[in-house]
Amino acid sequence: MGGGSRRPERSGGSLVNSTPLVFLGILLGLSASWWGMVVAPKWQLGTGSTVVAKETGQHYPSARPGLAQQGAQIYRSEGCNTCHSQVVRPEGFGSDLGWGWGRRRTVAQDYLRDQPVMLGTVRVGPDLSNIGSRMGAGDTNAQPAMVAYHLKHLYHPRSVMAKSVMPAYPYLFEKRPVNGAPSVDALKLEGEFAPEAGFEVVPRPEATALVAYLLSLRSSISLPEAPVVPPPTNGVAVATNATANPAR
Amino acid sequence: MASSDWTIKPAPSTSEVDASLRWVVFTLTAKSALWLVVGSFLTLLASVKLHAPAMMSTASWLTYGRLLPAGWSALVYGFLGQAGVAVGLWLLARTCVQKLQTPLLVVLGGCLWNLGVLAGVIGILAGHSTGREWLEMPAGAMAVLVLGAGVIGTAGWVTYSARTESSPYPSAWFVLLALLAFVWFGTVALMMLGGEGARGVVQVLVQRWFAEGLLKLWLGALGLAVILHELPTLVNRPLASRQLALVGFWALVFFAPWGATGHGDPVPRWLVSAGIAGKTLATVGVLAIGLNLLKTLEGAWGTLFGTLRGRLIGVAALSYVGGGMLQFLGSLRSVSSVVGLTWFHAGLEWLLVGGGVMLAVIAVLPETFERATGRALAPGLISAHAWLTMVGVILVAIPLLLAGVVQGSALAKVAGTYMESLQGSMHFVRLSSLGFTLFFIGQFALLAGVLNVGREMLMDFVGIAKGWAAVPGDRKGVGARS
Repeated sequence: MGGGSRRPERSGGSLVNSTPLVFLGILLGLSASWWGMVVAPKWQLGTGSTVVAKETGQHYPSARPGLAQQGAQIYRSEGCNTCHSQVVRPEGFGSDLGWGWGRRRTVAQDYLRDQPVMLGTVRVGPDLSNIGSRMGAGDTNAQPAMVAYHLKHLYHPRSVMAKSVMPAYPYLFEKRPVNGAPSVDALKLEGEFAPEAGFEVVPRPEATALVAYLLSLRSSISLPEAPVVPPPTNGVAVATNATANPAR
Repeated sequence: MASSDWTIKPAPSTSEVDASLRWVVFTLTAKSALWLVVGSFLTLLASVKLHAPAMMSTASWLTYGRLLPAGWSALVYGFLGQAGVAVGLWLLARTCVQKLQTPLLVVLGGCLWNLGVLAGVIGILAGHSTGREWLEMPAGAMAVLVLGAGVIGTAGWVTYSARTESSPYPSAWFVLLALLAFVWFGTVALMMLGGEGARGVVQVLVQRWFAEGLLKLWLGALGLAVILHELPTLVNRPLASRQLALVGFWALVFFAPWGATGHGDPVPRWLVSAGIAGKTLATVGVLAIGLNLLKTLEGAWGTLFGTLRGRLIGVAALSYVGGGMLQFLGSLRSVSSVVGLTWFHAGLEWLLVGGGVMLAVIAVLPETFERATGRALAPGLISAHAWLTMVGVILVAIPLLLAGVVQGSALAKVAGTYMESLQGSMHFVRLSSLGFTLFFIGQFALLAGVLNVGREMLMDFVGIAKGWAAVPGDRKGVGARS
């Protein structure tokens, strides 16, 4: 082999003959991208603050409720971002808006309070930027149905969507004998997904927190840099429509 | 710097250089082989779970979202972070014509490194992932890795500084870059992501800058160091142009980590433009490398692909250059609007890391191992490992890339449910599971080979110790002095 004995040309390597110069040169090169991609954006975006949304008159983004913040950590811990993105791309990029994943693209302001920010890289499952407003947005009566849907989905995704490839999370739930009257929190499971007679499935605090987090995911308030586009009239984009399917 | 500075240093012989790496190469390779089995098993499990999602769902550590990052971390940090560095240090010592300096530091750094990987992989499986791609390992584990890399890197740089060859072969630059890059990106990422260091999308920028840096300037640099060294050797020609290698080197150093942003990202427009400009300029570096290899290889493709080792290096070079081109294409607006956020991303990572780096490392690992330890891995095991890994990696990367295109095209049209749009791409994803299976099976061959050599070395050691113990006490001192 003898790599040291094989030199194609003697010229062209003057700079790389001095150890300190090589070290500094590489460090300079590495620093260039750090200044451009990390430090400069931190100056611009790192000092950002909430803005008052015209639609609601409230500060945006607001802090997530405590339970939802706990749920964000379950989302991180289970690696949900391995399959789900939280970014709605603008018009012309795929059909993010067409699938009803949001009323507008997502922008830096939407992620101001998130720690960590989990944008995701591969959409094995649908985008979740606005999963909290896919069903019954603004309809407080729809809230229990949304919670029940997501709990069932987490317990066994195939119980609500036959071809789902999402993992089941039974360890976020407890299967226990029914003691007296069934718990009001018990999941309404049918067929092959139902527990044996005399047993019920209730969510553990982790599942409840995770659902609270999912329902807190709403990034559709109109912002100056990302105004809400009027919903199309063909009936496809239904992000905030009360009948929209969260499975999309 | 006067050239006479270099001539006064006595150059060690090749065998002396090799011998200086004995324990470094053996320990790093043995531990890396173990991580390779662990990593390929975890990624295979993750892949199978895409087809049987209800399987093994009662244990939290077996969920897909934990298995995949844990497996990837084991492969990248556990295997490539050690085997790649072992090969890199050997190339560095050879090209600098100098014995590895302070090898004990490398062994110590290797121990730290393994502690970090162990804590990191267990941490992810236990649910302590940071939720940031490539940085999933808990911060404490990553800090131990950075410390280990710093200790190992010091030995590399000291060796370069003590070189007897004034203008080392270009591979040396890439190894030096890799040794420094991990410490740099790791330190900055840990500092900026700890506490309240970065808010909002700045966290994403730090994470992606880190990932791009590691992909191109740590792993990529190690892969290129091997390819640039091996490819000319295999066709028995000098590298076509040292200047072109230099252009590629500096273009990558300055521009590769800029590619952290792309079209559609939720960041200001100037950052998207900067990211795309960075990707374009880094492509100049990839092209310079590709052109250099092409010129070196002119008319000798048959020679290169005539041997198994040549095939590995050839496929690695094609994967590196092809992956670089695909990454550039993927940054174009019209392409990224289709393949963005699809399997394409995973396929590209496998092409660049599995194809461009892993195949290059395993091509030269057996020789490195043999030269440094003085013992050869069994040829049959080397061959089985090489074939299964190469076919496995190709069968993972290409189907995932195709799955991305199919998935992106289906998602661009709004029809039916999301799951229906995903069905077409799942055929390709299933094919990739076959690749993961071959890849996993192949890794036992390397592990078996390394363990066998380890057993032989142990037996020899025991034999020497027994022989020494059998010598009468009054002669031991004489023997030791003579």
